[in-house]
Amino acid sequence: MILDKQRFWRWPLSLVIASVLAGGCSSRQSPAPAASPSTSQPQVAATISTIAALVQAVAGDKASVVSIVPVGVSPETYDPSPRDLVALAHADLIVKNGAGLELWLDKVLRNVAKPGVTVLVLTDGMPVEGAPAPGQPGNPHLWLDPLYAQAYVHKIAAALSRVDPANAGSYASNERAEIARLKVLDSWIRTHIATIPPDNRTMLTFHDAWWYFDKRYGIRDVGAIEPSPGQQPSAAYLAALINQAKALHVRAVFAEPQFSPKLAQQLASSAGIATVSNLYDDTLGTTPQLQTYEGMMHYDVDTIVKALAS
Amino acid sequence: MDFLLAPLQQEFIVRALIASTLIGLVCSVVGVYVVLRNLAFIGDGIAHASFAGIVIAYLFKFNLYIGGLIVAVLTALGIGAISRRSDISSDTAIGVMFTAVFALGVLLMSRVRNYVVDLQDFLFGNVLSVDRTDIMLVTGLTIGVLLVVFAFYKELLFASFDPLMAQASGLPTVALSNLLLVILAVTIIVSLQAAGIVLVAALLVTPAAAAYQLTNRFDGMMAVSAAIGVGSAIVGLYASYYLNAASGSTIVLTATLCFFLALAFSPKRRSLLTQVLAARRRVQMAAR
Amino acid sequence: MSDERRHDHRHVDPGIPAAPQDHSHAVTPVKPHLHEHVDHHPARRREGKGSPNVAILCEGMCAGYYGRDVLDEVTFEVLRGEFVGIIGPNGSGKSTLLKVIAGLLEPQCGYVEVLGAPPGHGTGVGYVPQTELVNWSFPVSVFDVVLMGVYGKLGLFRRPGAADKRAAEAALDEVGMRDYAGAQIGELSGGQQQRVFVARSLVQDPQLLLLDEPIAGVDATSQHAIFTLLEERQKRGMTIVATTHDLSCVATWFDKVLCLNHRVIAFGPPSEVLTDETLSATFGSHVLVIPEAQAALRSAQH
Repeated sequence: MILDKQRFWRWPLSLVIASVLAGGCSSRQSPAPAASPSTSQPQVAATISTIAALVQAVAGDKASVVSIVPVGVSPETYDPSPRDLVALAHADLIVKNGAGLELWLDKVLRNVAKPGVTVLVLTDGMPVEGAPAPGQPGNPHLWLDPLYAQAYVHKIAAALSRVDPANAGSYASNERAEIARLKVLDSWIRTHIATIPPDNRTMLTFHDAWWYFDKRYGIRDVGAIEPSPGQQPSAAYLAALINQAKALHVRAVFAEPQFSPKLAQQLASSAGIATVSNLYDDTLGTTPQLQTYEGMMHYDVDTIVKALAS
Repeated sequence: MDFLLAPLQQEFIVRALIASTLIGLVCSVVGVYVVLRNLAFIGDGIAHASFAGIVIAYLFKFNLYIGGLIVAVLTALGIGAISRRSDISSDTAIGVMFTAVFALGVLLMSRVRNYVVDLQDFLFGNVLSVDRTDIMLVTGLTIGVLLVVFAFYKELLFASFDPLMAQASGLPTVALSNLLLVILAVTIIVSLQAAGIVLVAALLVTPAAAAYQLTNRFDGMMAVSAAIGVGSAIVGLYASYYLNAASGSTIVLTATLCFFLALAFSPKRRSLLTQVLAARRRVQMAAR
Repeated sequence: MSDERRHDHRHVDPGIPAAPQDHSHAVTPVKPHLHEHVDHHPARRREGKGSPNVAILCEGMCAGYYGRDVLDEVTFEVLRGEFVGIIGPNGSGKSTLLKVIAGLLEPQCGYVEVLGAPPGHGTGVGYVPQTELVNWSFPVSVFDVVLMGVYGKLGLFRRPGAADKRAAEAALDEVGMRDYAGAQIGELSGGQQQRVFVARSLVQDPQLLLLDEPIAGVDATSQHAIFTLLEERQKRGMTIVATTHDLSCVATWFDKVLCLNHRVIAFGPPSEVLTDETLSATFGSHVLVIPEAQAALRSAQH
C-alpha cells in the first residue's frame, strides 16, 4: 500500500522538478555572446582588455570589439569559458599579443576559430626581450611603452582594413588620430617622470610587466615578485629581492589588481617599504578613467609619480 | 527547442558533446564494478598517479595521454598486487603510494619554467578543448573498454560476487582482477578530458551509485547507470554552456543530483516519502 | 636447518582488493610437528593408480602456503558413494584439504587422485566453499547465483542456454528454494543462502561434492534440508565430503569420519573413530600423541 503511494508520487514530483529546471534554463538571458551580430559588422576578438581598447580606438563604430580575458583577470593563466570560445568562434579577426602572453590560445583557436580567420599577432617582428628566437615567448608587455603601442595601432589598422576593406578609410583616419594621441601621451609621461628625483626612480612590481616602460623612461627595474607568471617565488628568491630593495632604497612596491595583494604586502613590510600601490597593465579597470589605454596610462603614471616622488 | 539547438551551431561544442557522452557512458559502465567492488579509492589513486605520468610526458615531449596511460596502468597493477599481498590495510598502502606519486608530479610541475596551461586542463578537465584526434582516441578506447566488458561480462560478474567459487569453477580470478584494474586505468585516462584528475572519481562512482538505488539486477544496474551517465553528460554540458561554467563540474553535479533523486525515490529502502507516510499513519492510528 | 623452498603452487587467491581472510592461513600453536617444508616425496603424477570405485585417493600428501605446511603426511581413501565428514579444530587444515582435492591448491608432496584424475583436471567435482568473501550487496538474484554454476564451463561470449536455465531451476527445486528465485541474495537468511550455494554446485550434476562448513551458522530447518538432499544424492551415487566443527551431527549423517589436525588422527566409521582418545588428540591442547591414536594413524596410512 505504502509502496503504491510512493510510486504514485514519483512521477509528478519528477515532472515538477524537470519543468522547474527547464523553465529556469529558458528564462535565463540567452548568453549569445556576439551571436546576433548587427548586420554585417566585422566581429573582432582581442585577447586582453588593454589591447581591446586600442582596437576599439581604431575600429570606432565600424566593427564590434570584444575582449576575451575579462577585466581584472590575469591573461597568462587564463582558462577560457564556454562563452569566450563562442566569441572566438564568431570572430572575423582575432587580435593577440603573442610573445607568450596567451599560451592557452593556440590550441583553442585550432579547435574553435573559423577556418582561415585572420589572426593578428601584434608582437611579430618586434624586439621581444628574453625571447631565445623570434616568435618564441619572452616578456610580452610591449604595449606599456607608448611607442610600441603606436606600432600596435598601425598593425591593427592594417588588419582591419584587410578584413573590412569597405571601411578602410575610416580605420585609417582613426589610426592617425590614435597615433597622435599616443605621441602626446609619450611626451606627457616623459615630463612627469622627470619630476621624480633620479635616486627614487626604481620600480618593484608584482610581475615583469613594466620592463619596456622602465627602459623607455629611464627607470630602474628592481625586479618582480613573481619570477614567471603563475610561478610562486621561492623563499630564496624573495630574500634576494628584499635585500636588493633595501640596498637600492626602493620607495614603493607596485601590486596589480589581477593578483592577490598579500604577497606584495608581505614583501613591503619585510623590506620596510611603506607604499603599496596598484598598477593597471594587463587589464583595464572598472572606473570611467580606466576604460581606455590613455586613461589607464595616465592613472598608472600618476600613481608611480606619487609613490616615488615623495 | 531553440535552446537545445543553439549550442550545436558550433562545431567544437558538438565535439565536446560527443566526447562527454562517450565518457559518461564508459565511466558509468565501469563505475558499476567500481561501486560494487569498492574500488572508488583505488580509482581516485590511479587518477592522481596518472598526473605524474602526464607531467613526465610533458617534460620529455611525448604524447601526454600515453604517458598518463602508462603510469595509470602500472599504478593499477601495482595497487592490485599490494592489495592481494599484504595484511596491512590496503587503504593505507594505496593512499601512501598514490599520494607520493601525485606529489612527484606536483614537484616536477613546479620545476617547469614557463606556465603550463595544458596541465591545468588535466586537473579539472576541459571537454571544450577536445579536437578531432581526441575524439578518435576517446571513441576508440570507449569501444575497446565496452567490448572487453561485454566479452568478460559473466566472468567479471562471477569473480566480483564470489571470487573463491569463481576460482573453483576454473575462472582465472587474479587475471580477471588485473584486467578490471587495467580497464579502470584506461577509463580514467579517457575521462580526464571531461572531468580532470580531481573529478574523475565522481564520474565513476555517482551514476553507478544512483543506479544501485533503483534496481536489484546487475544488468539493470549497468543499464540504468549508463543512462544516468550519458544523461548527466548531456545535461551537464548544456548547463555549462548556459551557465558559462566549467563543464567537468556541471556534469558531476548533474550526476549527483540524479543520485539524490534516486536515493529519495529508491524502491529498495524506506525513502523519505515512505517514512513520512508511515509516520502519518501512525499518528492516525494513535488518534483512534 | 631446512631450506625454505619456493614452490610454484597456485594460491587460493580471492583476486579482489581485500586482505585474504582464508582460515587456512592460521597456524595453530597446538601442533609442534609443523615445520618448514621438507620434501619427503616430490609431487608425482601417475595414471589412475586407484581402482575405479575410489573417489579420492590421498597418499602422504603435504600442502601449505608460502612454504609452510598446513597439512602433513595426509593419507586416506574415499570410495564412491560414501558420505565422509572431516572434523578438526580451527586451523587444522580442513579447508586446505578440500582445496587440494578441488584442485585449487597444489600439494607439495605426496600423491592425490580425484575421480581417477589429478585434482582440478577432471570434471564432475562440485565445491561449495565458505562464504566469507562473498559480496552480499551484489544485485544478483537467487536464480542468477545458481546459474553461475555453469559459467565455468561456458567460454567467453557464450551465454547460458535454455538447458542451463532448466538445470538451475531443477537445482533450486532440489534445495527447496524455488519460491525465492527472484529474491536478491543478500536478503535471505544464512541458511537459505547456504541452500542456494549448494544448489549452485549441483547444477552441473557432480559425482563428487565437497562442502566446506556447510552448516556453520545455519538454522535447523536449512540444516535438515541440506542434509536430507545430500542423503538423497548419495543414494543416487554421489560421493560427498564435508568439513564441519559441529560434532552433534557427525554420528548421524556420515559413513566415515576423518579426524584432522594437520595430520590424519583417525579415519573410519564414526563408531570406531569418535573415541575419547581420538577426540582429545584432534581437539586437545596438549602435545602428547596417544598410542591408540598413533595406531589408528598407522593403520590409516596403509
